Amino acid sequence: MALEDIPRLGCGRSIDRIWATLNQPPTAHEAQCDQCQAARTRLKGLSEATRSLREGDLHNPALKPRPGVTNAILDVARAEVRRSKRILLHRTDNGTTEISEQALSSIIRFAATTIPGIHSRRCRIEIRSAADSLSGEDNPTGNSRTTTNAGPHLFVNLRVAAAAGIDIPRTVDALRREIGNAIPAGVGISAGTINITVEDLYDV
Amino acid sequence: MTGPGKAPRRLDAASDALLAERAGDGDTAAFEALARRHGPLMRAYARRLTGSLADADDAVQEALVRCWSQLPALRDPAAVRGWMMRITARCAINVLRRRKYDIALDEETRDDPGPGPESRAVTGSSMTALGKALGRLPEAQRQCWVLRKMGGQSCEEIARTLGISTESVRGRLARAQATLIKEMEAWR
Repeated sequence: MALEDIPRLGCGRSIDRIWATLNQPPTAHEAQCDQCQAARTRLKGLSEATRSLREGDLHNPALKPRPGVTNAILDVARAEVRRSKRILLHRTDNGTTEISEQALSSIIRFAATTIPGIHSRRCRIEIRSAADSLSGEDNPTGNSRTTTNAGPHLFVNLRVAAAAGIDIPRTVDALRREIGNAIPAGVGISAGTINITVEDLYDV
Repeated sequence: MTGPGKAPRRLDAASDALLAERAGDGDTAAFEALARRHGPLMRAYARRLTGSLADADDAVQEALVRCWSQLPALRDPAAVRGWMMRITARCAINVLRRRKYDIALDEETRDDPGPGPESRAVTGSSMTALGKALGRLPEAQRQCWVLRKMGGQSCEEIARTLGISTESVRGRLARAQATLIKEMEAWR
């Protein structure tokens, strides 16, 4: 589309130009030009109607997504979560027990909600699983088929935002204890190493 | 994913940045809160772009799936709303391309839910006129106008979304404005 296709007023000014400067005082030409003044008035009316339409759409109950749409999306999301990384909790001759990283993350996030002044952010969990701990030098016999006591050693790396003004060392210690209790209580394995990074402060 | 015994609604007061980070980390409760918060605007935006609530639903569904899968790569979690709207716009345009959609006035009017009760009481008249005038615009002009004026995208972003030149975007915008002004004047 060529620039000359942009509609112009009889005085030569383009509508594009007038719209772009609508929030500024009129130029010397615009202040004296009847066509420009009329265009500015009409464009201001259009701008106001647009703002109203945008706000109206936002609060219009008829435009809220149908529950079915949201639920369908969440089903997709949950299905992906179920396919996320698994952590081997326990191995016996009769089979293995695994837990998804997301399930462990949810326990950690929930523990964080009980500590005032802390908002959890990203959580990454690294593991040395039961199988890992039985390989190599930890398991010189190479027998990894049966273990009932060796559990995974977790390395929890949690990033949080803290309320401005709180005692960060004390609060983070409380958070670490809470996570340290929540994981064994929730899934029956030791919490291992819990690294917490306060990466942001927020106003209360 | 929701914590044990934790109601998802507890996240409704959390900031966009916090929700985006947690959703990017695989927290479906945080993602649900984001979808609940921005879903109405996404659907309204998609509806203005496509002219159809049915197409808007398809676009929003596709957009939310994309948002979920792409959230881990979002660089600025605080800007998640604009990011979700850009994805919504791209999905709405894709829906239109697939359908080869051509909106007829009667269909536009039938599908238009009109302003909500509060808005209707305050500015319903000009909103209704603008809504109907938008529905009568040629599709290419309406897309540019909605992306620019309702979505806040720059001309360069619109050009990338639609696969056209920036000059074409400016031309379509100007002609859309001229038409809308005439339509609204005629309505008065």
